[in-house]
Amino acid sequence: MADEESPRSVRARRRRRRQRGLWPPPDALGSLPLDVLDNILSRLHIHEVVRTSALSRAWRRRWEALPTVDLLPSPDIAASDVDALLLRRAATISSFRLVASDPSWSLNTVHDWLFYICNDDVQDLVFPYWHNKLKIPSCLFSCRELTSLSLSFCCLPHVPVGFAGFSNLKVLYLFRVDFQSHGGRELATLIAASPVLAEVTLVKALLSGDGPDDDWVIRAPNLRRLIIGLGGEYGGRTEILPRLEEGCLFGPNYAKFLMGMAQVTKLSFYCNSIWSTEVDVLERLPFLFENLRSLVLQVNYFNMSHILAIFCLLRSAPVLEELDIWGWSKGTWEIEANDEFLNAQWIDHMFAKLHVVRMRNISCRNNEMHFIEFVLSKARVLQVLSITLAPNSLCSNKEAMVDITEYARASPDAQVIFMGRELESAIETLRHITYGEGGGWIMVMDVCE
Amino acid sequence: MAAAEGSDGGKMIVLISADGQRFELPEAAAKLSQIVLYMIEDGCCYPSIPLPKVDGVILAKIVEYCNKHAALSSGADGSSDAASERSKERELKIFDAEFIDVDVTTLFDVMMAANYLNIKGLLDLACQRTADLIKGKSPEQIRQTFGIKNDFTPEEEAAIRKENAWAFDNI
Repeated sequence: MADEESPRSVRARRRRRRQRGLWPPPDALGSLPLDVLDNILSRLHIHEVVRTSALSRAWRRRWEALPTVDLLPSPDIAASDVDALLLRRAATISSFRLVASDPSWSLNTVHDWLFYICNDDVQDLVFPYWHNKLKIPSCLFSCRELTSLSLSFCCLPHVPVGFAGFSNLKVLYLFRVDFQSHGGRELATLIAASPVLAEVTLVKALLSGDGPDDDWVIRAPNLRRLIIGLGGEYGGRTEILPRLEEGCLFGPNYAKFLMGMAQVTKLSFYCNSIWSTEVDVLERLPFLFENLRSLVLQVNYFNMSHILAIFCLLRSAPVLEELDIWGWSKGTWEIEANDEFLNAQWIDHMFAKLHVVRMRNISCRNNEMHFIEFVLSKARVLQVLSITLAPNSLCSNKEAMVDITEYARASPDAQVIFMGRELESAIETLRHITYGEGGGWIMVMDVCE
Repeated sequence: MAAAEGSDGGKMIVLISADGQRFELPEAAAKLSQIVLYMIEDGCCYPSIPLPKVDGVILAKIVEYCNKHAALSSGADGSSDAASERSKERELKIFDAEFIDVDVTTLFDVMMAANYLNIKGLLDLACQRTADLIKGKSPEQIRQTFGIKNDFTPEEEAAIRKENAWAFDNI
């Protein structure tokens, strides 16, 4: 520490001075309530916050007492600035948010920051580190007041024996985070020890030593939103998640996670990387999604398991109102999904409440056209079907329009809207969420929004 | 400002400012204040809610803000499609920008009132406006904007700049 006295004693002395009224009389801005002034300062670049020290005597040390260090508006900050910032602080940190990092930052430096930041009071930690995998120190587990934890590109230490839990943790976001041996069980332990968790996002995590047959359980009685795109063929399952509102699954062998998701109102399921055996899991779901209003799917219309999988979900969603399907047709034909095939998938209550269908990235191959015809002929209360063509679509907007407007419509109110071709940028987003292609898994978030 | 009309036939709430002025506004607008919301829930809102910490001039501004936001955010006209949502958002943004373009004294009074009444959207709007007044300015310009007296000697100020040189690079 730069100060000779410990920060705590300095703080105590300042508090006493302030109480005795010996603090220089502040101006109108400086006399705002502490949390209001914190709110204002947290909206500034950290340089501007520190520069308030030159305003007047009353302002000289004000910035050091800011409980939140939000560096999200300061993407260009240098490591030495973060050092100076942390060393000169008079208050413990309740919130630390760092946006990006510089390749020149040494692991030791970043490690030191974490040691400094992880304390009893920290509630909110956003810590991305993009260049080398940072080993997070175990002191993370002593941050008992955490309400929000967001980590990227790092290795988590083993959850210590006797871990008291994160009793206030509501939001957990892990992107490219490695769990050590028995990674799945470590992850499950972390989630189970955080009883009020409401949002969990796991994208591209590495669960070391975990395989498809490993048994661990996601147990989270207060979870509202769960996004799993781990990126590997891992084990695990979900216990019933009684408060879940939104689920997003993206990866191989993940259909099993649906078992705890019967309550969801919104579900995103990306077929790209499913195993053909997962169709059995979907076929045998022991419940209907009684609350599911909005379903987002990604499907390769050439692929038999994909088509079977989406019909399993459609049959299990009796009150579905909105359906978004991203086409991703490529590879070789496995199946001609014609009228006969599609009619065999039909059951009575399917599409009963379906109002809106948005079909994206359609390349006008036979299977896609059959599916469009099927939806129009079966969805009796459909209001809007919108169609956006793939950049490499076989038909032009006009040709597609001519074909599709001739299809019979079960709903007298159904309108078909032709949106033209997908923008390359939209396709780029889609490409990134395809399993195994590229590193932009974070894009899965965009599609989920 | 005159009392708001209860055009949709909903319940009206009466607020009384520190200087005794009466403001009548729809319950949905009044509820944007967390404190008023609690009072309504506890049934302590009849015949009126006294707000002894808020002056009439400022309360008029606050009521204007709440009326506009309640009217535009509740889907009052029954439409809820994406296009009309976006146009409402735009309208609110323009309203907010004009609403908060006031002198510093009024800005602080509105901010204190929003803090006291616990109206999060308005508090954030005022805080953002204050932050925008600080952004990109030298210490001297900030002092001028907010009427802060520089009680440093030139030597002291130079020492402080030196102490935190990393943050003063471009100023």
